Amino acid sequence: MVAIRLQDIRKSYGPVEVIKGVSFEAEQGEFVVFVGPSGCGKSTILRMIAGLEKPDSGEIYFGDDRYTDVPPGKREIGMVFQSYALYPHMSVADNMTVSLRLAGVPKTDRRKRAVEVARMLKLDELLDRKPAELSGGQRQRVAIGRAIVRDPKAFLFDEPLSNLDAALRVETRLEISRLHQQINTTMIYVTHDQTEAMTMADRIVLLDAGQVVQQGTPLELYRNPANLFVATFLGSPKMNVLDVAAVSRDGTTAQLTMAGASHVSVTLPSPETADPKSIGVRPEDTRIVPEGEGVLSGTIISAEHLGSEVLVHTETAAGQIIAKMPPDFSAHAGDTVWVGFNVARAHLFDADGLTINNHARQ
Amino acid sequence: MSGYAGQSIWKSLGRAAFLSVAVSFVLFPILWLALGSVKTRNGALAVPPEFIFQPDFTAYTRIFTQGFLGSFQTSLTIALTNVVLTMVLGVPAAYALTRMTGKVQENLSFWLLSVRMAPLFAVIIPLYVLFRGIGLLDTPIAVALAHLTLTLPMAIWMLVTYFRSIPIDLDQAALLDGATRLQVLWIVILPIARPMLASVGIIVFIFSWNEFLLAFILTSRDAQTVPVAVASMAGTMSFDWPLIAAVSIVSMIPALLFVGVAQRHIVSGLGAGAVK
Ligand SMILES: Nc1ncnc2c1ncn2[C@@H]1O[C@H](COP(=O)(O)OP(=O)(O)OP(=O)(O)O)[C@@H](O)[C@H]1O
Ligand SMILES: [Mg+2]
Repeated sequence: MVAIRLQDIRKSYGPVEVIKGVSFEAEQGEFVVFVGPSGCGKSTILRMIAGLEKPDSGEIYFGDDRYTDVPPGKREIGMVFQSYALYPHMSVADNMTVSLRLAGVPKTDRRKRAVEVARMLKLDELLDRKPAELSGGQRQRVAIGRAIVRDPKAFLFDEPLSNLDAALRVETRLEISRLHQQINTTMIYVTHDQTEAMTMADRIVLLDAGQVVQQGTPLELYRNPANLFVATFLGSPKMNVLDVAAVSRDGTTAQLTMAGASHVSVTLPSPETADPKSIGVRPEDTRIVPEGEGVLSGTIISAEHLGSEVLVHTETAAGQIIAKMPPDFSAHAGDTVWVGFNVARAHLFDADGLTINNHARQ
Repeated sequence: MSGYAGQSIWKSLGRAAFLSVAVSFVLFPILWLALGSVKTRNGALAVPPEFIFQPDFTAYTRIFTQGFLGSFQTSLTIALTNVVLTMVLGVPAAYALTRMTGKVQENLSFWLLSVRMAPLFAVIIPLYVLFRGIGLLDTPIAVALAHLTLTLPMAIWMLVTYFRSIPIDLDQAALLDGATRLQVLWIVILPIARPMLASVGIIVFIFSWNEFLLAFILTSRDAQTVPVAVASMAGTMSFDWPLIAAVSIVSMIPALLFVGVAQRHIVSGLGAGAVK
């Protein structure tokens, strides 16, 4: 069942159109992550779903009902703001139950519900504190609690983790995922962090400049990015992208050349496909290899030892390339090395940056 | 004794001296009034001033017998009415100005303040004509309304500055919690803005309580305020300095009480912990 549906939503601030026709559906119980670079319109879309902002055109449906003009208080949405937006003069318990108070729920029932939710979020001890007396992580949980208390139709999260330190971020990420499994309510989560998107989402909606670039499961987007933007946005470290030129073409087989390299032979989906203009290879499909076996020679700039792997950054005639190597790989800055690619897993892009080849699901 | 300790003694001595000068400068007229209120008529005006004399409190009893109670009542009515009207009109106006966007809002706040740029006389004459026309001359409500024309823009200006510092995310969180705009104002904004509301209340009250020119022109007999009553005494043939002083001293009491109560709301840090 569809829980939330946006239909060709547009929004301008003054003369600038910031949302340029966004359509999208979230299934009941789905965890959808909106991800994209800063300023691409993620918060604006979220705020339109919440009713805090009105679209210039387009429609918003919750289930089968048109909600485009319903005021925010009537949408039964729980929203967690990037800034938390806790009421500074109220205790944790009061903060969480304002919605119940406004709905006329008696005081004792409100307290009961606050205790229930606080237990779920490990806030039991803090119910009578003021927000100023809480740590960042605790405030964050109060903000989530405030959203949970009213049993909303859907949760909206606007970069809820961006004010937390790295360790707390990972922990809270897991907590939110667990919460989702527990209450199984539709969640729409906004972030510019591709790791959060990859780890939490049932489905990613990737936005750029107010438009949906691609949507699908994290693995679909990772394996079959629709274009260069998606390819380089998802994945850490980033996909290596090199400019290429086709030197010869025989049906679906093309010989590519790039600056400072021998030829690479790639397979195209059909004889009619345009010639590739760039090739993308993920760091895990890139290797430092013995001389003569690789495609390019380069110089090591740095080697990041992460314990479980080593990220080797090399400078080649075709640009910088990152290779992910096993943890015992020894590399020293200044060494001259050869770089090889797993060409079968390479992504090919045409002159407009659109993906030419597809990879079957493995 | 170390040089450091010596220095700090000079420092605190200097500070004490500076504070004494400042305090006596501020308090001297009040002290003078207090002394004058318990002298006899002739004693009060003696040159050089007498510092040793038999205190005479009859001036204070004459406040009651010579009909000043009415002025106190009028002044209090005017000041409180003005505070209430300023708040009731100013708070929603300031809130609207900060939370609704557009050209109108920008210009409106400028025009509101421009009232204060005009000389007072530019306001008085139209007001006089207006109040005479609707038969409000010489009533407390006329003076309160006249004061309102001056205190309202000032209050809006102060409140706008404060409301702007309250993150708009709080409003939106409350809207999502199901609050109406008025409920947002009541439940979220006003509690956070309490210190500023108290400050505005104090300033408006003191202004109204002491204002002379408007009260003088818009009243003649029935609705004389304390400052007007005092001034009118100074003009009569017998210059009753002890009575003037006594009235002035007593007139400080309501203002002091009001400030004392309101000041308890001026605490800092009410907005802490809202965001980040
Ligand atoms: N109230 C507003 N008035 C004018 N422009 C706005 C307003 N709100 C947002 N914008 C513009 O709309 C665009 C999208 O903003 P939005 O806040 O949705 O971005 P975002 O994707 O959430 O970015 P971030 O990751 O930095 O939070 C931005 O270019 C921003 O400058
Ligand atoms: Mg944002």
